[in-house]
Amino acid sequence: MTDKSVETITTKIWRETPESDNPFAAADCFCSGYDVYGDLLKNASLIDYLYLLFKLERPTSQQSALLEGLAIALANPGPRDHSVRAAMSAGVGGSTHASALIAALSVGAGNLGGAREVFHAMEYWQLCATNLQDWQQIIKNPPQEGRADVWSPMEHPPGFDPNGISCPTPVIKTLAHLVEVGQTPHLSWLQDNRQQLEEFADCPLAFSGVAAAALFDLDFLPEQAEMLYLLLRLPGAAVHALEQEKLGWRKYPFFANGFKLNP
Amino acid sequence: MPVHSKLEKFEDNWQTSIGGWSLEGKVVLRGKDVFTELNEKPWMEYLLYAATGKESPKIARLMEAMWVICTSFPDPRIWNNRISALAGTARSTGVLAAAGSLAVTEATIYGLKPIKGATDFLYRAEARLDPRVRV
Repeated sequence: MTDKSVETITTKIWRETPESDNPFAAADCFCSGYDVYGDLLKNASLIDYLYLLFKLERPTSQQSALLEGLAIALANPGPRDHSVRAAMSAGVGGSTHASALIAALSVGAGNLGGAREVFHAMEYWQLCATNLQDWQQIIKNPPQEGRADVWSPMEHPPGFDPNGISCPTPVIKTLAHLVEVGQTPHLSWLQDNRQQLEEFADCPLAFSGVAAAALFDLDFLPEQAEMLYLLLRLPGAAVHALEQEKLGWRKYPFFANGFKLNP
Repeated sequence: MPVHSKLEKFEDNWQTSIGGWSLEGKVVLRGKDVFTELNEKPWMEYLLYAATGKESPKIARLMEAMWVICTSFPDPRIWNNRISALAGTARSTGVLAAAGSLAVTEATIYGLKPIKGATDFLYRAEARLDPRVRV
């Protein structure tokens, strides 16, 4: 041990008291003042606790229902999704289970259908709110990212699918459900103005756009929304990776005939 | 509060003989100054020294040749490469792509598990042939 004072961790999220026989184990844990193992464990839903962790306050029943609806809608993006395919690729190769989720996060982080797109869509909501003219303007003249950014520049309006033809049924159904349970202003406005916005964007609304509107209505910041979008889509990646691990690589597409090496 | 014999001595200090950076701007790796003693080393020799403490241009050259022809076939269908290809499609970052691919490389049908298995076999075979070698 050194004779200098011990450095400490600063957090508003968490407070612990140590066990009487072991200073390195927690006895009581409080999340934003709530006793985690004495109160939340018995009385909170996972969604309520998730909201509390991010917002440091308990959700209203409407907020809880809205976040739960979004969580169910996002839990399994399905094997069409790039991040799920990444996890499946880990599964067929017999990679470590952690790496399947790391692969899903690495791919699902991107700004084409991934969490970074939600981040940018949240910025658009911050700038435009429910002003249709502002949306038209920002889609026409999108903001330029900084030169030192590690991300490639957005190539399409965030929240919309540049490869889409019409708005997919699950996106429409999710938007309708979230409007019904949340009764929140931006989701409702998005539902009312979806087709107009899609005309501006020249492509249909995507899950990233619905998620951004819902998380904006829940008063999340863009970086919080980006994190949640990464987290909430992991269950599907996990189970698809495990299933492909069992099935093996012979039952997974390898493009043996479809691959062409150009000169 | 009782003293925790195992953990308390590590609570506020971090001891290592591998390397570190000092506020004066000195960077040390395994006892050598990175800016004055290791600055002329080729990358692979530096990596070999960092990982094992060995200084051998011959082993480093062997590793480099293995790296070029054995360890990374540039085909996007191979499952770890596929992660990076998907990351590119989804417009993720370069480091996230590489990190995802690297994580997945500890695989059963290719990558690290076959390499560890084959290496283990060679060590055990050598021990069987020469009783002086211990595994």
